[in-house]
Amino acid sequence: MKSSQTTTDSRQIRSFLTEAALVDNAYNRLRKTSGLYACRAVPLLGRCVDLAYIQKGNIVTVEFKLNAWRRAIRQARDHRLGADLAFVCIPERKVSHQMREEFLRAGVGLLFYSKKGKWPFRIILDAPKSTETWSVARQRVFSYLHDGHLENNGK
Amino acid sequence: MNQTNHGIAGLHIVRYGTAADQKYLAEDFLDTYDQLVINANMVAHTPAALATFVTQRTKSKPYFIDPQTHAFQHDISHLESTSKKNKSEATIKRSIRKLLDAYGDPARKNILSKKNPRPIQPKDFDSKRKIEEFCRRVLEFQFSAISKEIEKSDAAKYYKFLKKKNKGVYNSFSPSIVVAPYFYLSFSSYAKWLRINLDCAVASQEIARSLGAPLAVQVVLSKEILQERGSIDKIADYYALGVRPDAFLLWVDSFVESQATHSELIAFVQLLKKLSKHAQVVNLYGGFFSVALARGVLKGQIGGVTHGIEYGEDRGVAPVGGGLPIAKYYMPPLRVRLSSRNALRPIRALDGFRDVASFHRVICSCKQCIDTIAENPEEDFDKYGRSRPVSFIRQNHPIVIEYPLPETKDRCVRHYMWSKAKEYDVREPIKASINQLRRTGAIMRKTQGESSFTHCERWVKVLTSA
Repeated sequence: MKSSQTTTDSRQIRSFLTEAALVDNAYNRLRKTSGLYACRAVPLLGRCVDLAYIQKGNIVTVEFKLNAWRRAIRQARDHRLGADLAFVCIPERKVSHQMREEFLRAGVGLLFYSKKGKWPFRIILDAPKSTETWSVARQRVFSYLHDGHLENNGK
Repeated sequence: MNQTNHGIAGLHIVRYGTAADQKYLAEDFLDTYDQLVINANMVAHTPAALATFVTQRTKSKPYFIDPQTHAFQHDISHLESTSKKNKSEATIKRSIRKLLDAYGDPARKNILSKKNPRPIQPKDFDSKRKIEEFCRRVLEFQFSAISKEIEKSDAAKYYKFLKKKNKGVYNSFSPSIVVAPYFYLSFSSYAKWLRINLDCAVASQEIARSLGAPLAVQVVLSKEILQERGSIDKIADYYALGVRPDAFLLWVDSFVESQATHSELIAFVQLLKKLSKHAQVVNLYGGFFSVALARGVLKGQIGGVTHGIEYGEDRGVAPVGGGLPIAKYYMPPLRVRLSSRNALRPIRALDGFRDVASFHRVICSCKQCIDTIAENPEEDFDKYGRSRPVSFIRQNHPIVIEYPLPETKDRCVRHYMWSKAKEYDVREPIKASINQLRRTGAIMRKTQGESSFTHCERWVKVLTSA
């Protein structure tokens, strides 16, 4: 019963939402979480990260895609140069063995977009802490998130 | 006329792109290259500025002009201005209009026709007289565009004085070689245009002789033709039978050496070998692979390899959109330009961030890198990628684009130019460079995966077996 509900939920997400709407929705929900510095469209070494936030001192990036998860992995892999944890977020779907392997190999985590509740994500594959972080890029992302958060909150 | 080997002054030829290039070409890097190539539309657009640049700022560095006649055979929209002023009514760019005035018919009347504007076609060259007259105008434009400006300038009296004193400076304002009109050879239409190209080359021979200038024949073809062995043979033989130029200028449409397959590289080498039996060949858009050929297995056959300021190692025949101005770091161990994001992993794999000395040993020790990578390589390397993020809204969604800072671009250009100077320098053993490429390719495969930077192995294979 629960499974068929989530499938319906996933179909609804796919049919009604665009990638941009997923990002906006997730961002608006994260903003309401206290102590979390979140920003959309974060510059990272020439890439534009859909959504990034600081949580427990870690910089977390999220690349949203409705379908093209392989492309998302390529992008998220580069996020590891400036972030501590890099995720791809997609609407719920079946995760094949090959898909799981590719996420693990890239060191990128997988999230399903969750339509209900305060937290917009469901962790499917945890992201390992990046071993590739470039301190210069990380510091820049950190400052961007910090300054962006203060600006968005009128401080 | 400058001292050149049949019009080509040396292996290292640099393409003048924009006025912003002048500060590099005329100052620090003046002694690093042999010759300049300038596009005819630039000469038509700002002849006085280019005359000053060529004669004074570069101290009469040998140059030649690419007449760009192929531009008139493509869709006219490529020739139209895209400026906001003319948004409502498309007009031919001013520089192209000036060029059309200089070259005349059949290009001028067809492209500027009010009733039925169209690109030129092979049938427009339907008589020997039309071909000869067109060739004469194209060659005379190249030969005299710069010197005419000098005559109008304040320095004219001084140069005339030198001429009287028989100092020989006055003549050096002409290009070191003139280029016959040429048209692009695509797979579908090459047979028709090849005939016109050869007729233009034959007619230009006599005109060049009367001007006292060596003649170059430009061969511009698609990658598709490159793959067809029969077509390459036919083209090379056709030119060889009909004309005796001083140089062939080769341009393969959008031929990116690092992305070319093994068979494309082999075909490219075959074409170079075929043409070079009849005259030295200059690759008009080439990178390390071409330089290594010219300094190695095709030594003496390739007369020059051209690149631009930081870019221009390849080019599409039909203009494409400009895209975002991204500063890239030229990675000497890999011989390709990479964004700082993409350069990080290879530098780490090569242990270039260990300390300053390691960076200079395994990545680069050019003047710019000595200056830039001075304390902490991992932090200092950021100076090759610093940018300014600009946020805007696209389709109701925030977007950020990073624009390189002027100092970032400047560093990348300078590093690129020093790296190129080293590649062309005959004192740098080319075999060692090829061996280094082989080692780097192996390290990349081991650390970055099978499909990363595979050009290293392809290049080495062709460079050591061609």
